[in-house]
Amino acid sequence: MKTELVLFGTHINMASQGRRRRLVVVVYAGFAALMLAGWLIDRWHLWGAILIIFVAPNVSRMVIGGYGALGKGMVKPFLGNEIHARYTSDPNSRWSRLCRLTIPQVTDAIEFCSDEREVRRRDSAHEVAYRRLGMVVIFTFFIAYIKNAALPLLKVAGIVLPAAFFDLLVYGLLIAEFILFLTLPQTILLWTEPDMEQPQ
Amino acid sequence: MSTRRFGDGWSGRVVAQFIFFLDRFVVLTQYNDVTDNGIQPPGGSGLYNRIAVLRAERGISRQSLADAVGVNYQTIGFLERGDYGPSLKLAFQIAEYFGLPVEAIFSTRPFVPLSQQVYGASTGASR
Repeated sequence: MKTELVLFGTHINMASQGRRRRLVVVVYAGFAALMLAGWLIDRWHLWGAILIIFVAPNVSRMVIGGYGALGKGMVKPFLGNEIHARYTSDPNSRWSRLCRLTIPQVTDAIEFCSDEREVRRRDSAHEVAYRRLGMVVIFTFFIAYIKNAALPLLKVAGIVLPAAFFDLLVYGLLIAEFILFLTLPQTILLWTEPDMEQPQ
Repeated sequence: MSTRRFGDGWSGRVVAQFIFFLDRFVVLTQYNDVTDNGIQPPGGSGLYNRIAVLRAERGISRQSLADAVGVNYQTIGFLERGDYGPSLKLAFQIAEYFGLPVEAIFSTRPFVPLSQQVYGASTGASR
């Protein structure tokens, strides 16, 4: 993990855990606002969903890092070791030259690659993140499965919901899960990594 | 007159099963870092080491040691505090860097303080 976030040329010190936790809160608040905007546009039916699908991965790449980050964001690229190994195996190949042009950080192994502790933490964060996410996905499909039976039962109990309620709920949950799928392992790392020291 | 206890009726059983399910859900989703299995001194690794002493003795910075063994300088800090247990490869790399056997740097038991080794048990705290 990096000690500073570079955003539009501005270097922001992120060595303290408190700052990184605030960043996670701000990012998820931003995603919540993005979901609200998508819902207001067309209830996530087309343009609302397209907005989220395009904006969320780019914000994740620029700020959080990890997946598809290619050297940007706080967390080192999750596939950095593999890309760097392929790059160093033949730095003069066409692929390596293209790699150097698009990802200048690839030449700096310390900045681009994760060491064994970081790899272990990365794997641990993935295990925790996707175990939780898996349960939420199962819950979503459970709602989708019972929706036809649930509406008449709720009506009997005196709760009248619009017919599209469960559709919107399932759709909203799936979009939230898409955002979490892109960001949860990285945010677990940002949240749990203790204060970082300066080299001495 | 018999009194009904919680869990006697079918509704009680359903509630109890629901609470049990919730409890399992919470247990299953606890964040357990693979490096922390219970409370083990020191830090979470259960390994004692002399990296900080050796580094100070030879005037080596964390960054220099990290560069020499190919890890991030923060990982050296985690190693020194015992928060991270190194792989066998990294332990041997560190031992090779300091020119010492691996058991002189890492141990599962606390090291005897250098002052005690040099001056014997009659100094300092024993008096």
